[in-house]
Amino acid sequence: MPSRHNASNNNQTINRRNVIATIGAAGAASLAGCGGQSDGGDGGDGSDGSDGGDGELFPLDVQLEVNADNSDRLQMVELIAESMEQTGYFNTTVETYEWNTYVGRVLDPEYQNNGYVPCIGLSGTFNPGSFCNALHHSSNIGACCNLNGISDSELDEMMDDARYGVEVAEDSELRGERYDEVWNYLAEERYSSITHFNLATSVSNTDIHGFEMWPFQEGMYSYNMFAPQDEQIMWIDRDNAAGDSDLSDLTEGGTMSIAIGANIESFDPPHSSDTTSTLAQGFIYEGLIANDTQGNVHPWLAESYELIDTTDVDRTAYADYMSTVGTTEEGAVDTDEQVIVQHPEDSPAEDDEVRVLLPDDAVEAAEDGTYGMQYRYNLQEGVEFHNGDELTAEDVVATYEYAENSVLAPQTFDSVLTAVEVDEYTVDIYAQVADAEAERSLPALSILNATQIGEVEKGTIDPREGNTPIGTGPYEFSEFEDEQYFEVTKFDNYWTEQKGVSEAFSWFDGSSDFPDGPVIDGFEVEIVPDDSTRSGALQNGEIDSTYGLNSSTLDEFDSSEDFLLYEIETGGYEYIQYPVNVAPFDDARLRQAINHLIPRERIVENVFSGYGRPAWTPIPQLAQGSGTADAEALEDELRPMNEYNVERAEELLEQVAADN
Amino acid sequence: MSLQRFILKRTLSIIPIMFGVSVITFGLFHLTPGDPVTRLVALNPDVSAAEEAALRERWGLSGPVWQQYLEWISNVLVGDFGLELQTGREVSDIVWRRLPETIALGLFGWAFALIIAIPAGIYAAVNKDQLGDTVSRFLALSGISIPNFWLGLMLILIFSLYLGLFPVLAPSRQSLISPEMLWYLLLPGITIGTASAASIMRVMRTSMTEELNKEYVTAARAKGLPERTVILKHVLRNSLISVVTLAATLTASIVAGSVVVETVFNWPGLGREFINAINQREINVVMAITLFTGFFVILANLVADIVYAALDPRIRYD
Amino acid sequence: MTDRHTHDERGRIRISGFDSDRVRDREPMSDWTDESSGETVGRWRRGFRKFKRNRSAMGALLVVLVMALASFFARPIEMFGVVVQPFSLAPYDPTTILYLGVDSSVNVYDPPSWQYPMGVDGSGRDLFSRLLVGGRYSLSIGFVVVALTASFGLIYGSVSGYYGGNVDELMMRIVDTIFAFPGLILALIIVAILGGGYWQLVLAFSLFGWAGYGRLVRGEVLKIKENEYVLAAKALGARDRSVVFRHIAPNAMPPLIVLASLNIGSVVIGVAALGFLGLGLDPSSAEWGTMLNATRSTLIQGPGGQIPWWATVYPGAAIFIFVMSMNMIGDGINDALDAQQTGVGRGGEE
Repeated sequence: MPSRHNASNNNQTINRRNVIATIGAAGAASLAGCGGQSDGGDGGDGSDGSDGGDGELFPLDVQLEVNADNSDRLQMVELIAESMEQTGYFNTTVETYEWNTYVGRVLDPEYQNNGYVPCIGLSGTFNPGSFCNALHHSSNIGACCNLNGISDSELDEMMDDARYGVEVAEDSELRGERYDEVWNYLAEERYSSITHFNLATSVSNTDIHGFEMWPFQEGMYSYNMFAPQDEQIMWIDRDNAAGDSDLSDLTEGGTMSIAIGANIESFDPPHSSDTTSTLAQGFIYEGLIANDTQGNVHPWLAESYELIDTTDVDRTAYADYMSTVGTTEEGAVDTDEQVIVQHPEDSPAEDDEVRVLLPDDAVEAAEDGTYGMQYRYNLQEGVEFHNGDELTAEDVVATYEYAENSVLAPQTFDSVLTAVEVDEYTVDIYAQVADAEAERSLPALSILNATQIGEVEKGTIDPREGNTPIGTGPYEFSEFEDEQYFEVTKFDNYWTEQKGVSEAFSWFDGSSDFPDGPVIDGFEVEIVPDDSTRSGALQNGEIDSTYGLNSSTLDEFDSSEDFLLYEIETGGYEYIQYPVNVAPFDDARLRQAINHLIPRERIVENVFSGYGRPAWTPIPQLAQGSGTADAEALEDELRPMNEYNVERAEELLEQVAADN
Repeated sequence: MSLQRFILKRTLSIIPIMFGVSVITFGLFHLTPGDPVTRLVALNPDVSAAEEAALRERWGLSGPVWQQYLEWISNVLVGDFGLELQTGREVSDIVWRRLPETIALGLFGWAFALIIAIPAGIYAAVNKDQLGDTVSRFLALSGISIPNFWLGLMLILIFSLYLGLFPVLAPSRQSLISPEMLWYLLLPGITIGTASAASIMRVMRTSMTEELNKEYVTAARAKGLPERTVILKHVLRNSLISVVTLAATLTASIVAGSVVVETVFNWPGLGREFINAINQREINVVMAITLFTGFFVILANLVADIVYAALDPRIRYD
Repeated sequence: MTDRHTHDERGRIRISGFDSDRVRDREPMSDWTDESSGETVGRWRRGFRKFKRNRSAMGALLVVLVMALASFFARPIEMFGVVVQPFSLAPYDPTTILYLGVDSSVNVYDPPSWQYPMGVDGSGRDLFSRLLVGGRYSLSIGFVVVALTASFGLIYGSVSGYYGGNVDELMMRIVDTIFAFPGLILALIIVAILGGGYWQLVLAFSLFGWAGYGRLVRGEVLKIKENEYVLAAKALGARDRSVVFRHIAPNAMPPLIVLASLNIGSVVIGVAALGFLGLGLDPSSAEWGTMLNATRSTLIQGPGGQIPWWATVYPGAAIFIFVMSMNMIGDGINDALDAQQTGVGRGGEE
């Protein structure tokens, strides 16, 4: 705190998966039924007027809530509150809470009844669904991050239709159009207001060459150390200043020192999801695939993959394979095994028994030909783990089993049906239903070593537990001191170096100068929670690179000759959400009016010193590929509805007042 | 009563205080509304009643309060402070790992305070009511009045950033006893020691002034002993005794200062751990550090009293 | 004479300055202990005259008064819908964001200018107004806490010292126990449990803050209670309560006042420290420590960047000047009332 005040970036956004894991998938399902329905919502007939009831709606008392440890976000909320206050229609108060308390508070399904306006940050992905589902899908009530109980079945269906089903899985154009409908619907209903998209920034000294930004902070350094998909490689040259150096200047060796903003909570990939843990794991582990900055998928530990089959099933098709298990009094499914699919017609909250698909059932179903999609991955041969084992299909299957009931289980098994070994170097991964995101989401796990999985207790692949993490990545774990530092050194038998980059990756069509593996000998990762301390250490020459510095200082780094500033728009965004189930917020016009009072340009300019982008549409650049048919047209259409416009807001508020 | 008996009696007298310290520590967290489990459950709406009961059992929070206390204290007595709620790691490991860093910082702060304050106090007393005295008194008053977090920030700003003389990062790989550690300790040590230095200086000055007015000093001077000898041999020794009486209070002040100063300097000690634990609601860590603090201050008191008793022949032990 | 110290010196030498041997040394010089209680009034008057001649203490008193008045008249105060204080020295409300509506040319961290004499803070608010209003928190918490703790400590110490014996033993053991914890640590824990907020802070510093007064008063009472006038009062059959409150407590006042005046500074620093650690008041409030916390990150700028010193220097200086003044006043009172030197344990952490 303290050191956490200035909000190391991990504090700024909820990593959605993180929270789901905390809350528990079973709970989310059991809570879905209890949201008060509010359809359309121009009711406001005053029967449940919350305010004394002297007939006057305005000035309306509004309480905005935010976590206290993120000073920028707090400042933004204060700005919105002040802007509302100035119209004279609102009396605003801003309540702040310590981060953990706040998350617990806003994720409580009862929270929606309070009538508060919470503000929170989320990190989205290439998947456009991460910019609408998480906020609005009724299945995310009580989970992350449908905080105010939005339960609109029409919207749910629209969002599901944009991701699932054979049609959209096969036609990305159609998918974009379906998402456009979602964005337009949301602009009218205005359940939430996304304020802006974050710009991720990183600053290095000029010894670091060839650095480029990656849209997700957790992958920033592992991407830069070696990414043939974008011909991306960084190296250290302490004699020449970086700037316009190219591959021919590449020098090998050296140790790079970086500073990260929070402790590394775990080295066990499926049992952690915070940014810094993922960042640290990125040196050690690899996945079956790798993305480029556009979100295109390239085979990695899999030499190649193909979509073998897509079938038109929904989740009820698994009924025949399901096991029947009891439920607990509290309405959770009573089993220790991972629930892969729960029968959509059963409710653990109401029924004594429910039908669920357990891991063994899933294998049976897949082998029987009941699945949504079947992807086949042909593994690279000759890939060596840090303990000397060779990568085989067994490792992949063991990895998926190890992810059961882990922190990553909810986001893995919302799509994955099962992973089945075909032969020593071939694995099939099945999706539950036809899913437009399957290509990216099915192979998302970091591949672990089957021998290690067999030896350790679940969740304990961590030096603090006496287990050295073992992966196939270019760097081996070397040293770790809790809350202080972490070191990796280059792995001598890294497989792409053994094979050569063009041999390893058939898709590689880059320069022949591109090296066969990372060229930096090792990394020293300092754990420094305080943003300004990292900035000071960088300027003092104690570290080579860091990220998440105060936005107000970035221009200075940018104009300095000794440092290079890198920036990219990420999937990170912040939003406030209206208590749609509490009058008078059930009136869409009130919500639209407040949306018009959000000074988005001011927020970006004054709070984030220009390092951000106003959210004129709800999707950032990185998700526009599959998230809209035409990004420009969408912006033209939606921008007027999101602009700061006091007149329009007052007009709407007058209408609301007149109807009351 | 002999000195030995006094020491024995004084040592035994800390037992009820230690007991009181443990009761306060425990009581603060267990008699206030919402025990750790209630707070944990509030964060996590899906914990069932049965799971809650199991959690209570696991954290030793079931049964009447006195029983909980006995269970807790019997674990603490064998060095078991329980587990961290979020990571499930041993709290005692955390405390032992952080403790040396804080002790190093505290000792350095103490050393700094003494090295600055004693000569300054002597100087001020000898030059009473002259310019040097006025200046050093003013500085001492400032030292007491300046918020230590603010002082720390200013020192970082000037010496680390502007002049680039000291590292900004806290030490991570350096061994605690090594020359380069001095470099890391200097700024936080000064920050933590300033208030103490100011207090000691003020007390030194007062007691020196008093001593200087005493007959034996006049007599010594009359004998023709050089002023230097008078001050260093006679007056100083007696005045230092009054500094010893300050020791325990200042130890408490340094312990509390470590919480703030370690946060400002990102120092990897118990103080920073304490704040982190408070922010993350890690009750067991907070309790362990609180208890440690209490014991530490009690011990410092004990040592100070014994030293005082040994130094000052006039004290009566009863 | 030394007989009187049997309870006073059990080798517990914490409150410093009041240690028995110095008391013994100075006892004969004391000009009041042997006098009747009626004459302590004379002592007050003499003390007041002496205090008035102390230029630095008077200057400090003036500073404190100006600060207190400025924060009181900073913004209008309303109670139960009635405006009890209509003045408004501060040009803006402390929460007003200047660039929204007031003056759109203002930017965050604008340097001091004629219009905004202390500059603009990181949220675009007028720093001068915030500083004035912010004094309300720090100052009032300081005075309220000291009033509460000193009163309670007075009662506690009087009872303990007067009755002596097992009561005294137990009561002093409790004080010993509280003394084992640095005040800031206890305050941090209480705020962590109860959450931040004005009354929570008051409670955090009051709950255990009385212990110092308790011990001090007890020591004084032990000295006083053997005095002839007290013995006389007892012999005449005065009730215990009346003896304690009519005769003993007033005589314990001078050192109590010295300690209290010094403690106000400590409490103010403590409140600021909690604010700085992000655990005091709500982060957007104008409390000085909280303001420092909000601008802490600006101290380290990028290469060649200008530090908005006004955002850090003014709130920091406000704390410093106030605490320094309180300490000077405390020293002044100490000299004036000829109470014992109390110059310890007030580095802000006690």
